[in-house]
Amino acid sequence: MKKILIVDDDESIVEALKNALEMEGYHVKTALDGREIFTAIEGFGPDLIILDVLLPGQDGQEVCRNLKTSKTTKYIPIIMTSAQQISKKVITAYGADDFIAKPFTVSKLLAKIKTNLR
Amino acid sequence: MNLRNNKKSLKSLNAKDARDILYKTIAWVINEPFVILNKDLTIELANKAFLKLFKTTKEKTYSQYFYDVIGGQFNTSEIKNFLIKIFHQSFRSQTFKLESHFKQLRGKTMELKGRLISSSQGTQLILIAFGDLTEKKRFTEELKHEKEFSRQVIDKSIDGILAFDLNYRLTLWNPGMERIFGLGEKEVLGKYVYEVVHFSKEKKRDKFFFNPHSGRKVIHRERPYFVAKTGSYGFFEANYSPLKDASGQLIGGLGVIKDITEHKMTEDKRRRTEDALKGSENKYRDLYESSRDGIVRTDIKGRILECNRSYAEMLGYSKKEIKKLTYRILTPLKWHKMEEKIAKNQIIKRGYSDIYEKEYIKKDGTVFPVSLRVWLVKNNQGKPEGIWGIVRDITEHKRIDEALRESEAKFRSVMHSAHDAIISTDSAGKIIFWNKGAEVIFGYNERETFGKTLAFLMPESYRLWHREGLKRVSTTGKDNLFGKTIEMQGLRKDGSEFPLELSLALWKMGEKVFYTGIIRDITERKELERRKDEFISMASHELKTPITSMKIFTEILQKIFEKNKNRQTTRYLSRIDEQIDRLTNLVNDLLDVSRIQSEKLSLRKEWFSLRKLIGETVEIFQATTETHKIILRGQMRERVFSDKGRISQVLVNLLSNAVDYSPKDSKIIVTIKPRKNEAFVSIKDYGPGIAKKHQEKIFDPFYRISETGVKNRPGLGMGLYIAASIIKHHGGELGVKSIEGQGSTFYFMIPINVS
Repeated sequence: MKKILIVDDDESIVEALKNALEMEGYHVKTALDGREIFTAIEGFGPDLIILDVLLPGQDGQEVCRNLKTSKTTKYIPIIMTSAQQISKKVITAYGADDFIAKPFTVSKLLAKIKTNLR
Repeated sequence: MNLRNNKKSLKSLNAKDARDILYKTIAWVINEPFVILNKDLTIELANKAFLKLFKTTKEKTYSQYFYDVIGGQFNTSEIKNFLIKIFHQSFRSQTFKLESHFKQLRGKTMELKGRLISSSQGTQLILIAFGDLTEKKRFTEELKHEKEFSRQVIDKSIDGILAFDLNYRLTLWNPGMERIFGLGEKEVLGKYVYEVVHFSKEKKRDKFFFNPHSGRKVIHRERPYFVAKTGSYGFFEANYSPLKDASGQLIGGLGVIKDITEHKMTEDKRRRTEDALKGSENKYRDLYESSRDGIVRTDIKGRILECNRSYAEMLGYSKKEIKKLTYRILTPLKWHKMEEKIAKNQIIKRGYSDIYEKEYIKKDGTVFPVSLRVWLVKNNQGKPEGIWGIVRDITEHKRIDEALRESEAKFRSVMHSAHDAIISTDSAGKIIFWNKGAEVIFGYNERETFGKTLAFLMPESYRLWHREGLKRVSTTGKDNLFGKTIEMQGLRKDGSEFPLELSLALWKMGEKVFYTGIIRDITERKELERRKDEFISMASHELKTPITSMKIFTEILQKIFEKNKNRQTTRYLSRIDEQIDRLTNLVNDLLDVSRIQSEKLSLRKEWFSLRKLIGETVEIFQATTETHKIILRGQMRERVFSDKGRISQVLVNLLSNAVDYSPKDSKIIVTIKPRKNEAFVSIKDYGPGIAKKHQEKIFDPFYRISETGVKNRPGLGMGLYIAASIIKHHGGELGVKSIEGQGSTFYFMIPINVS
């Protein structure tokens, strides 16, 4: 069973996503801010991370860059989410593997997850 | 034969004797002293001049030895040799000369000429004639001095001196001539006079100026000259006289030349001035009458004696009336004291006043300002007799002056009350004007900044840029900054930096160049902009976040109810999903409008096939639209460099409009074609069309057509505004062609092959 870590400061989104992905058979863990993320990764060992750009305490972009420069986490695919349109250039600059703009449909997200888990 | 015997026989005269006696008489009276010696050197005969010369008598001379008579007076051996020479001459009648110094003859130098002669009896005698060389010597000496003197006079003379021979070839050309004509002696000697200097400006050979053969002196006054070689010309005065040698023979001409060019010039000027003055005397009268200034003459008591028309008109009187008045009557009382002071301190003291201002009273009683100057008039005895005054009405002048002062004051107050900083500098960038606004913005007052260069008003990082800009402007006189508004950082007195907006202008006053900068502190505006950006970003986040979870939850529910085959609930849930999408679109539109209005709309350009994008969009759109048939026409192979998402947004917007505003079952025709360097896309519908009056306005934000009878489509009126802005950002144009009742065609062009 593939493990997915969802990082977003909005509890409602986190809950909705968790349910939607679990319905599709994924093992899901969640984190609400950047500080929780590393402990979550250590104990959980996710196969993919869904990361919101705007995080309290620590910028999602910064988190992304840290993950992508750390030896243990750099091979974990990251799909970034944001309520804003962000250009591909910016996404790749932070090292994210994919991006999906909010709001999105679950089916569209699932397609991206499948692509990035391959 | 003895001469004495001859003398004795004078009594018995014959013809021969008579002739002898005549000779002797002539010899006796001849001025030149001589003596005739016998062979034994006794004196046979001596004449009166000889006796006089040696201060002796006949008795002491005749038959005496020559040596004894003149003895001791000269060198004996010298005279001996002389006599011997005479005796032993090889040819008869050869004359020998001897120059000797006679001590006892007051040191006279005598020349002795001696020759052998024969007496009528055939005896040989020696004739010695004495010439006084002293005079001659002195003369020669004097001549030498004189020559030297003449040479000096000629050389040192300020005047030019020239001499020429009878052929008019120059034989003398002194330094004075060189000074006048600029030609040296070496250049001209031996040349013809008329080759060297022309005495008129024409080069032709002059009708010659002086003919020495005439034997008269000639004076030429004011002759023009022209030097062919140097091109210089001028005027000279000359005295010519014939030139003779010592023997009185005419050998040429002599001229003394004086350059009077300068003198003549000043003379001419003076004459011209005099002529002009003479002419102007006649004009004085006219000038007096026609002068715009009033001219008035009064007696010593201030009674008006005469005045010109302007003076009378200025005061509103006729000339006749005014002659009965006095200066004081015409002047308001408050000026009397001042005028008395001027009369005492200026007019009486030095004969005239400074220009001063006072007032006059017109015949109708109005008081008006004048400026005037007054001169004292004296009679023949030098006593003050009255005054002359020249008076100017300065009403208009005062009015303009006041208006100017007022407008300047207004201008200044505007400049100073402006909230913007207004700073002017000279061409070197030194501050010459600093308003209150500048004081508020920068914290320096006018005194602190005057004369300083602007650099201290900007952070270090801008100073080089400023200096180079200033240099560029001062050398080229141009700069692309003028007339534009730029944003930069300013530096306050307290060291803080702030954002400012600067508009630069260049202005000229005469030759001088000045710069004026209008500076606005845009800290607040920047802060507002920042807040707006933040708001957009926050609003985007805050609005979309709940939508996102709503949408996910809806999807989860749909899946659950689909599994349970609860169709009605599923249908309702899909309605909710549609409305969530509509809400999302509205939020997106609002954010777009906000971005466009704060000029934050950014494009993510990429190369893509527009034809393919349109094909896909139409296909997807057709899939959701059952009521209309969308027909795609045209081909285009060229790719465009654009924001694919935004262009798609425009297409969707135009297609939904077409669907919404045309009747069911009508066609929508989408056309694409390359045109010159652009892609041309049009979307034609067969709806009711758009009235002309709305056509221009439909691209304005929030514009809604509200007309009775037309079914209103829900919306905020942002779609076309956003679409037009997107196309405009691509360097293209969005437009519409529509005739009411015949449908509308929206079209846009975007450049192709441009990255």
